[in-house]
Amino acid sequence: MNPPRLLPFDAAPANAESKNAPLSVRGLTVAYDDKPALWDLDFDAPGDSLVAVIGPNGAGKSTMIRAVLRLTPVLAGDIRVFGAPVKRARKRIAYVPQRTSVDWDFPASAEDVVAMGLYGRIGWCRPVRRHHRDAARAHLDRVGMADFANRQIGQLSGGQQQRVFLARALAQDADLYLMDEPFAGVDAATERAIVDVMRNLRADGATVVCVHHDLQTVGDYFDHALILNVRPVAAGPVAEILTEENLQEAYGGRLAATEIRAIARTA
Amino acid sequence: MTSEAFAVLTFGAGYNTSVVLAGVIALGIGGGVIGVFSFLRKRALISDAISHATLPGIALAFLAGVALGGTGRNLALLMAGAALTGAIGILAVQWIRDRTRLAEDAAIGTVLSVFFGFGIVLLSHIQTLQAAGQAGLNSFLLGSTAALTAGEAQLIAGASVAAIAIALIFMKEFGAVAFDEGFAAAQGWRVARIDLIMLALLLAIVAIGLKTVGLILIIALVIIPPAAARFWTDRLGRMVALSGAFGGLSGWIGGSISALFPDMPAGAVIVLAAAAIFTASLLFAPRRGVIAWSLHRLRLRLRAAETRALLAMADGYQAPDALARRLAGWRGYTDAHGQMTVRGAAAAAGAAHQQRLWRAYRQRHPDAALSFNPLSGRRIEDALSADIVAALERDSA
Repeated sequence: MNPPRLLPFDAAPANAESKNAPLSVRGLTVAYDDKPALWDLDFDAPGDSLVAVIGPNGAGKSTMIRAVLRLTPVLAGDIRVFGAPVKRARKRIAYVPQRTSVDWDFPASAEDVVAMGLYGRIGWCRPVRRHHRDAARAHLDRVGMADFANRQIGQLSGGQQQRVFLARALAQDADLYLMDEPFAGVDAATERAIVDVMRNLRADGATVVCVHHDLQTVGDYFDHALILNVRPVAAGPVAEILTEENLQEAYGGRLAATEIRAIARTA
Repeated sequence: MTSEAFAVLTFGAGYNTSVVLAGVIALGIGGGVIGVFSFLRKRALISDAISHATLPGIALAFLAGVALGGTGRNLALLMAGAALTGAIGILAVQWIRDRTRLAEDAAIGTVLSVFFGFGIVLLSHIQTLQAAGQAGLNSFLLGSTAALTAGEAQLIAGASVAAIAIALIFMKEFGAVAFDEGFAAAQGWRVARIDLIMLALLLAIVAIGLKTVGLILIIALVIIPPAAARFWTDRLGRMVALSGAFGGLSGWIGGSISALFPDMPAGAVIVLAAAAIFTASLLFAPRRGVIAWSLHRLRLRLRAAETRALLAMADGYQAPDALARRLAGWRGYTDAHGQMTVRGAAAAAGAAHQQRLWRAYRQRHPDAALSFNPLSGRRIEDALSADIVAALERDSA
């Protein structure tokens, strides 16, 4: 009997829908020196949804976001945003980086920082005008920070800083929002504000992909999830993939069995 | 003496002196404005590598000028040579930082020393050629305004103004990249390109300022004014304006002193003027200056101690620590034996009341309560509306 014919690799199934998915990743591999941070990740983010990227420390979650934005060099992989290469789709992507990556002593007010979200639209060498500042203040209002527009950012609490970052991303008026641990170290009011904003974005037709650190709240806030541990473990609707088996595979050894069971039950 | 000084300061001491002064002021403003961006980008020290790397370029330009039949002292030619090797120095630092395991400070130190050493060797070679030419080149190390012609001063002023204009055009790009490089890159900005523009402007200031301030000290014009300006404001635009003003002021004072005493090295005098402005800012700036900050901290410590004392007294105890006890004595809350006075009893009751109100506020409006500062000295009743206070009184009863 003859062995089955091997099909050319391109014929591997990729459904038509995934072609224009907000985020479509194939074979993404990132390594720092010889240590792999992300290995052979295939993932499609569904439209109009809130997607959580979860996994233990060092799982490659932040690396994935940074690789998509081409902030980190990539060993291999194809990344498409709404069917186009990232370079051409930048205007449709907004980014909320980790709060720790910034020097908060910088001479800028909350309004100045939010206005930076408009810089892409203003373009090279053109000045920031009055109506840009008014728009920035409007975005601050959406996150409940209108009263702090003129406060220097270092004088804000962690949660308030996070909201300013969120307002800056809102100013970009994007279709795909990439957020890196927006809920880390924020107070309850800020957490509620961020969730509200995310749900409004989804209602307006955007997709939010969010690195999330708190397993207890994944089921409450998100409808889809990607579980990572350098290699992808599972991806899909939260209710389906937040199983004991998947969590064990991803977190095995780092979480007690009782914790895993409790989390699986929240899905 | 004083009439002479007045004449120089007010541009009344003759055309040459005034134009030279104007040039130095323009250079100072330029250093201040452009320096803000390298300061915020935390790459100010690279201007040290740039300035030291210009020395071989100056020497080579001189040799070229002599070979072409001139005296070799044409300022434009020397500036061009300086800019050329300065640019090579920048690229060398970037290359070492990107391709090897060395961090930028090691790269800067390496490039700085190698280029400067090479330049010194060339200078001493020139010395063997013609003694007169060497003396002119030495002024590039520490700067001098004495030998500056009006034409050269105009060149310096014009180039400075051009550099300032370019820096202002790119102000938002520089600010975005200095504040959050990752976000700017994600937005699509070419961070490397913007950094290169900033470095080119730094190089321009160094080349422009070589003759007046000298290459050893030009870095000061790019670091001290922004550092001084930072004490006065939290807004980028104002910081740029203030830094330019401080730089211009240093140029004005230092340049004038240099005109009155031509033997003093101009660079050092200008830098000392800048240092005086910096020291004054460090000490006397409101809020961020050392004196204001120390007073503020002291006020907070005393207020905290007073609250500690009163809350302890409200519970029937003496104040817990020596400072609190002493403060209670000073304020008349306790008598000579450490016992509560009538005044102290009233104050203690008041402090306990504030504490209860604050606790109720934190429970009822946890988010808003974050903005209320109990150490500010303000009473809650004054900070909130009457109906909220009434509700809190009911809660804490």
